Amino acid sequence: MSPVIKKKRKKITISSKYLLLLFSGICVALMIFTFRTSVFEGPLKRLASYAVVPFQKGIAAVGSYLSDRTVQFARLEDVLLENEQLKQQIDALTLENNRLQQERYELNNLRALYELDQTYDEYEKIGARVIANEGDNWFYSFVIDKGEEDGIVVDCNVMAGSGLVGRVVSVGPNYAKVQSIINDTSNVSGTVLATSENLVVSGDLQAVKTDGLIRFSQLTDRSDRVSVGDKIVTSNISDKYLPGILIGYISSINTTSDNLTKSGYLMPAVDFFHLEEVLVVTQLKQQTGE
Amino acid sequence: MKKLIVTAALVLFSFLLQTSVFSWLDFGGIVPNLLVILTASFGFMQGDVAGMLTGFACGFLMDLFCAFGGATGRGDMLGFFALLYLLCGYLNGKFEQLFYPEDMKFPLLMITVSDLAINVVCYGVMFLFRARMDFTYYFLHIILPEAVYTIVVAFLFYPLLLWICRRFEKSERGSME
Repeated sequence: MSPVIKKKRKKITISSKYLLLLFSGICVALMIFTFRTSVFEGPLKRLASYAVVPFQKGIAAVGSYLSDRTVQFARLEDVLLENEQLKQQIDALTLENNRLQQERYELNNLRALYELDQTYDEYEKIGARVIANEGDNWFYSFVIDKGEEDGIVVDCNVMAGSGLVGRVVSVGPNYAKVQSIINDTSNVSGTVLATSENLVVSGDLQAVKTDGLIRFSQLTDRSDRVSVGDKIVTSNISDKYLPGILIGYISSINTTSDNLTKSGYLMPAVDFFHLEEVLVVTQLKQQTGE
Repeated sequence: MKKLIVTAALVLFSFLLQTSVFSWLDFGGIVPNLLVILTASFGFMQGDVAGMLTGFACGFLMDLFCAFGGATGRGDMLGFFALLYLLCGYLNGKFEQLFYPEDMKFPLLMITVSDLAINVVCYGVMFLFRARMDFTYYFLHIILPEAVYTIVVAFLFYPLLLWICRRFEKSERGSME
């Protein structure tokens, strides 16, 4: 009995080193290959779409059903109060809307005069459900239940409500991976709506964890016209993001030490921690000019 | 063969729990790391080969659904987490001799150390290299909370894994005799 076990043990320990080498080699090779090419992506994504995504969809469906129910029961009182406030808001907004429609009419006339396109009024969007979140605590990305088959491609912009959420970084047959703009590696070119000054909005894990904010920098504002509370939208010069999508509101500004540009933090327009449904803009930035 | 299927199912189950269910049960935005519990436990319970293979599978799933590759701006980069978890499983497998099923302290210690080590490496590769220098901040706000939450979850998850491993052993012994 004992020699048999000993022999088996020995065999395993010898092969484990080779196995370690073999698998490490596979990993390193994979990193190098997939860093620049997309050779393996097709089959791997198909595998993921059959093995993992259906389960995620199921769990997400059950989860959203449950959270809907709890919200229904728990928040009835809040909703009534909110309803009251919203009614008042509707009155105010109707007034404002009337005024704006008049202005819009004027604007359309002027645009027609200038022969401008109706650039970013209506992008084509499709709704998608968030089915899984990032597995670690370092990054902010999530998986949605629509993919290539629904017309989503890499770099599609993703919104929630009226605010920018991020962009699609990878697509499988029936799922897509979205990188949020609060992700530490994300950079978006933005514009201050009031003054048309450009700036760079970069995700910062530290700012997100502490206050739920996003950092911005490279704002040129010599005459101090930009102030706290100003709206920031995606800019015209961004190569990935469509222009005019709301990113957030400035919450603090300070001048950088070189006294040339300003930087600060902005409060995103989207609640990134409770995303359930998002809108994917199927139109790409590169297509809008045509 | 049965072992392989059960292990694969466990990997998938843990990954789904971690990405779907625990993102509703997070504490201050921190999600526990079930895959580390699984990889480390299989390492010291079943040896380095089993730990390695489990780790590779776990890491590979992480790679497929994680945003790190997006940092390159060119789709995915696969293999980073796979390598990290592979090593984690292998090194845990080296401690197989010290493992006794009755002892609860040793597994929890191994799981905690594995989780801390993996996250410190993650910080080094993905944040320090991009000039995010404030290690104490990241340690106190991400690495440490994740380790604590992971230990808490390990108290529930580890006995399940232990039970499954004992079943493996039993069926192996049964087939030998």
